[in-house]
Amino acid sequence: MRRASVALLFRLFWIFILRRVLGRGLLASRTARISVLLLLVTAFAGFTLLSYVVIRQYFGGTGLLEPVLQAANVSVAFWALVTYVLIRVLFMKADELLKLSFSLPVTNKERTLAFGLFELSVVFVMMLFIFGAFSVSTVLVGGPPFIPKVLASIWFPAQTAYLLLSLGYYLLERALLTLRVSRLRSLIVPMVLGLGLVAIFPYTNEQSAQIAQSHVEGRDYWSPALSFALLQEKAGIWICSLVFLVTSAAIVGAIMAAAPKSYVPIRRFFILLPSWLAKHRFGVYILVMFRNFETTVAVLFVIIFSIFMWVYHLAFPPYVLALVTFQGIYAYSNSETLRRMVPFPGRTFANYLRLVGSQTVLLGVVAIPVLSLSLAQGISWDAIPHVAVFCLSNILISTLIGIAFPPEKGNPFTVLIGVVVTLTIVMIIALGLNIFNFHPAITAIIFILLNLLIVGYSIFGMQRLERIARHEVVS
Amino acid sequence: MKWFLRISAALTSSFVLTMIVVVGSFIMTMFSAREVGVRKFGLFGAVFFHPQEQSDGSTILEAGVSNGAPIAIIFVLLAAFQVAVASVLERLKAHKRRLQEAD
Repeated sequence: MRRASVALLFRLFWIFILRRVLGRGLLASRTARISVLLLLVTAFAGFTLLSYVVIRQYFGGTGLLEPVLQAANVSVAFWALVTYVLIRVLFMKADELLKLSFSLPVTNKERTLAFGLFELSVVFVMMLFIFGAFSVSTVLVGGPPFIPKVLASIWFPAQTAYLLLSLGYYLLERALLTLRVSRLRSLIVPMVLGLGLVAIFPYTNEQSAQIAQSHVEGRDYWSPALSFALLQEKAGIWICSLVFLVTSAAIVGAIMAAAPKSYVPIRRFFILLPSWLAKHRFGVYILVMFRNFETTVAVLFVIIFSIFMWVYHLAFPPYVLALVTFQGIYAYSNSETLRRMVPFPGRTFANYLRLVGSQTVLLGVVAIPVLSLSLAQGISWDAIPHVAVFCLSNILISTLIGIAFPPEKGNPFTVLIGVVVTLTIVMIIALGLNIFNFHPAITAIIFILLNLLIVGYSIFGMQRLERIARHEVVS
Repeated sequence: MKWFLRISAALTSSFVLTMIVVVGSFIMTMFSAREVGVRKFGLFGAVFFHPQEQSDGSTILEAGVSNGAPIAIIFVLLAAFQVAVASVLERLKAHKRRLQEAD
């Protein structure tokens, strides 16, 4: 194994992300890039400040910081898995990224390690957003003695959890290779990860409850998730760091041994609907929407989640359906060829209606069993219009994200920035309107106007992209 | 059409920016209200936060907008600023184009 090759590939992957992800759609302009960066930094700074104020006000000087840190520690594995699911599903479609390395003189093992390191750095950035504010605030409130505690409770378990998940993934890939179904891993891996989430969520809740109970009763509590924290407390941060490094090295070794020797491409499309639908233009849009592997993954996640709610007798309105509506991000780019390769691509407004309509059909198909399960659980009929409006609005927003930040084929990371920016803006607007405390009718009118604005911007964006494609304007 | 697009873009982004300012001010006001029974104001008196103790010992939180004028002024100022910046930028670009064509 040549370390220089691994480092070179790792660098290559990051250059790819920076050039191909941060230079497309609205982000092609330097002003937009700086604005997005400022928005993200401000959001993170605001989040850290808020976290600091909350922790200082509620836990400062109360002695409760330790159990809160323990509760955060046991939830690290859950959040690592959530991040891993997101990254894994995205990376599955990263053929373009992997193809870059096929022409280089590197072995598959070197590629695996470089890709693993790259994944690790992406997961680290995401974990920084999840736990960064909490870690900084805890150290600011608790003082320097909390630095080793935060390291041993949050960051060491986070990295170990990621490495263990990676090892599990490669072992699963090996098993699928042996069973000769490796090409179907785009379907099987998300299902396994979804089941993992379903299993770990109640475990994390139970652990948090036990920590709270132990604190009230004044006794010590231990679980495998708290191993690093306990070691740090008993033997100090240096021994703990050493154990962490040895453990990480051992897991990385196991990953290298488990990684398959060759890369098997995945199936990116699943034929679910009959081809006669293609006789109509709207039918083609429906076929495009249903055949995507991301659609299959999202539908499977929604179904697994609904079954989990059924098994644990949890009755919540089925807002989980929103997961399906995020497919709108791919709707424009996946159907782009339909508008480019025909002599009469149709009017932009009609094409927009087809895009949104095909997503509504998908939502309707998935909603029937999910809503039936929710109603059987005891959810009232009144909750359904709220869920429907939320999901339909989400379809419009997702479609706009896909037009403003078009995802590139074989490069799924292009959606990340658009999703983060849009979600931040949507949450701020929702919170802002909540502060105004308008009459429900006025709030409804404002939301309708905002949705009309989204539709207007989407159509305007589509028209602009079509003009760019016809070389009428420069991008 | 150009002016319509420019003004609608400015209105949209100033709406989002105003919401960011309102939410940020509200959060700061909320966490600066340490005493129960005292109404705290933020953003030039536009937003308020008021924790009140009930007779049964529980605390209720009253929050919202007490005066919409500062928020409206911020919205208008931001929109006007963006329209002005967009117009100046457009003229500068046109000037640059003219200079390049003259070469």
